[in-house]
Amino acid sequence: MAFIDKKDPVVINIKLTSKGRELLASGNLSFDYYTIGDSEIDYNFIAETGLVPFDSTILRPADKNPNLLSFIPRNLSGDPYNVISNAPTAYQVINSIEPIGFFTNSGTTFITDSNHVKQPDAMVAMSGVSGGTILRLLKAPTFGTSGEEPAIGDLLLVKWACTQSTTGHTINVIYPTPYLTYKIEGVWGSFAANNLIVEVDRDLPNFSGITINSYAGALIYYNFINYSGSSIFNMSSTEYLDESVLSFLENSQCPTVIFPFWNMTIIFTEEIAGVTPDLLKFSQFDSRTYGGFVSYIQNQAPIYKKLGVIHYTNSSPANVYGEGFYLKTTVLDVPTIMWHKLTGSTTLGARFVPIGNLKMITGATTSLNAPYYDLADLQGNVVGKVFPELKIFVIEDQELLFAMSYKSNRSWTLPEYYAGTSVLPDCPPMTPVVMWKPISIANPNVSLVSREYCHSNTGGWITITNPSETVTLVGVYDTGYRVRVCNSDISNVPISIGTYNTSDNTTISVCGPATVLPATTCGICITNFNNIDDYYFTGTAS
Amino acid sequence: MNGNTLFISYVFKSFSGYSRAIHCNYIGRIELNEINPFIETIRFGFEDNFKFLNTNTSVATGYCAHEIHALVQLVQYSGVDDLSDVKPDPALWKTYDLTNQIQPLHTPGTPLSPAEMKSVVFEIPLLNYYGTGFTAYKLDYLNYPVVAETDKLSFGDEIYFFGNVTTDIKADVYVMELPINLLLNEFNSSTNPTWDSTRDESVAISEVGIYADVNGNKELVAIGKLNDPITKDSTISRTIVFAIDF
Repeated sequence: MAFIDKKDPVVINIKLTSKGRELLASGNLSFDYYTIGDSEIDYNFIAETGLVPFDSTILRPADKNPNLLSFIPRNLSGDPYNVISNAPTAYQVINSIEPIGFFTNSGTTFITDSNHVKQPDAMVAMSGVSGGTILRLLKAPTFGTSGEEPAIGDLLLVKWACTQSTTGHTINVIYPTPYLTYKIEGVWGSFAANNLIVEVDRDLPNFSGITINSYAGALIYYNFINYSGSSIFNMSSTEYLDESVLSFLENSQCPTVIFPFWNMTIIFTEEIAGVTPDLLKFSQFDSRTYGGFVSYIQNQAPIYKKLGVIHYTNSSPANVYGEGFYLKTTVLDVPTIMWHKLTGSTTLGARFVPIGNLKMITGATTSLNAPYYDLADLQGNVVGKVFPELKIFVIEDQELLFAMSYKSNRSWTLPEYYAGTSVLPDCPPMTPVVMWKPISIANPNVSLVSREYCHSNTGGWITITNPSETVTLVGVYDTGYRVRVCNSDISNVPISIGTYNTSDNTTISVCGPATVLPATTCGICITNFNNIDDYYFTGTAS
Repeated sequence: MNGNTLFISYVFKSFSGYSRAIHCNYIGRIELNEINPFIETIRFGFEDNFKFLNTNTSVATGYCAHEIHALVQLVQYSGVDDLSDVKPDPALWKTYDLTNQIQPLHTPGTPLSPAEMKSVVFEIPLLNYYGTGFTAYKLDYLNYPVVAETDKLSFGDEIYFFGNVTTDIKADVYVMELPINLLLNEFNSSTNPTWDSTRDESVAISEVGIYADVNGNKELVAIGKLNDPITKDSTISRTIVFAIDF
């Protein structure tokens, strides 16, 4: 039992009593009456001492709070119980929280504290890497923050770069390089003795024959989150509260730390191409226990058989994400992948955000009543879903999924392709940028009548209404261009159109010259043109 | 329903530099000639999206590869009700080397370039699907564990999301809000035995009780206490707001 801290302004300390919780549990809690009381006021004492009631110290409300001893009724002879008729109201609370994950400085620096990484300061001399699975690990120049040695089962993240040193904890986004995670399967020696050798789960790069003096930065992570000690690593791996919290046996020891990173589970409900009968089956994967989720999150009609789920699963009862993500404020940063759909420069990392309107997965008879946004990169390429109320991300893009998987041996995504049994144009192998440029007319007695273009999708000719306009399109084939001019001169006028490489203006093909007789109108036309590289149409009339 | 379906993707091979990585997992499907699929030639091409593919093994950025192979599986089916029931067998994939179709001819053993990837429409003649040129595909190049090696790293063993999550959060708060209006002529007396109506000009409010009606009995289910009792008399009107959030 304790007393209420004196505060300013006046506040009411409210407690649901044990009886209230009992009724809540049985579904019978209601608020029907209220009373106003002065049980802890001794008016005689106040009168004798001159104490101001405002200065009286009051006991905190208790679970098993005694009934009120005395009441202040509405009137002197009245019933102290007053009827409550108010209905509950609702409002929304919105808050921002700090980014949670393995990186800081907008995703450009590895966090190196012991809550995130076991040993952040290892490195590999790339000149000594020649394939195989045996790797010499060295102390990086920054070694010393952690004295931890690797153990079998730990995860080793190597920032490979061949001729570029990647030691330190900064991600140089303008140098996109493979960030590969290995499982350590053998350990000999130690950092302390400067003779550490590890064996990893798969073949390493082979840089033999290349003269390099650079070092690849490496970080060692715990392979599972059960670190015994005072760090948060002993606080996993369920999203439900500790049993101690639920049982009220140890509620003085409820851990309420903010767990500092998110989890990722890549779930397979079908075999990967290339898995022969002698190889490990998806039914043996650690993620097999999540198999039901793949069907559930797709409303029991799964389209994708492999899904990545990014979730905040831990045993801390801290309600970090409240009841959900607020609108489209969520940002998912993956700083270490090479995302092929990135437009513009070739930088490392990708950002994914919710786009569009809230959607709902509907089914023939049932609907998973969990709204989601499409999750897309900044160019609008949809890669999955974000469920704001479930507080999870689902990665559906199969390439992104495998680039995030350790065993894939690549942190880059591979692009799509076109394939079919027919010849072009049903199988366009390329997506050139096509431009339709104005025709050059040197003779002042020649005037442009019309410019038109077409391609695979137009279904006919489209007039370019502005004579000086250039039309630019991507992803079209079977292109065409036709021009009509009027010759008001007394002489014949030659007209020709052609196609040219955008990169160097070299001629690809020319149609013409055709002769436009005096006082006549004449047209010239190219159709069904295709080219691998970017090209443009233009022409001349003189 | 009878027919033939080809499942298709591609995979790079490397002989130096970065070790070989898993195939492209955008798996496509092509419905083939129902009678004789082996008369078909598959045409296969790329957009210009190999922006991280690097031709120089010794440079710092990107990745490199030395050969490109189509990854294909022909499934001949019969008695199928729905095409979605036609699925590839993970153990029956084959590779078909496309590298020698690159134009101009690619120098064997040298890294591929993005331009080479879109230089040609590759062709995969299915005539020899069960013969020369088509090689069985297996993930053993990833040191993929065998059935008994359940402790080895495999797919689905990821734990951490190597990234960051940033967001605003929300919570819906439901409030049982009870404004208690203490008018001038109300709540000015007390049943407290120490309160003397002839002596005490005011009462001191220290608590608010909330009750549920349980079978006619008034059960105290919530209690609110003021940290500083407030006085009330006929010259003062007050409002106490009692609110419980859920």
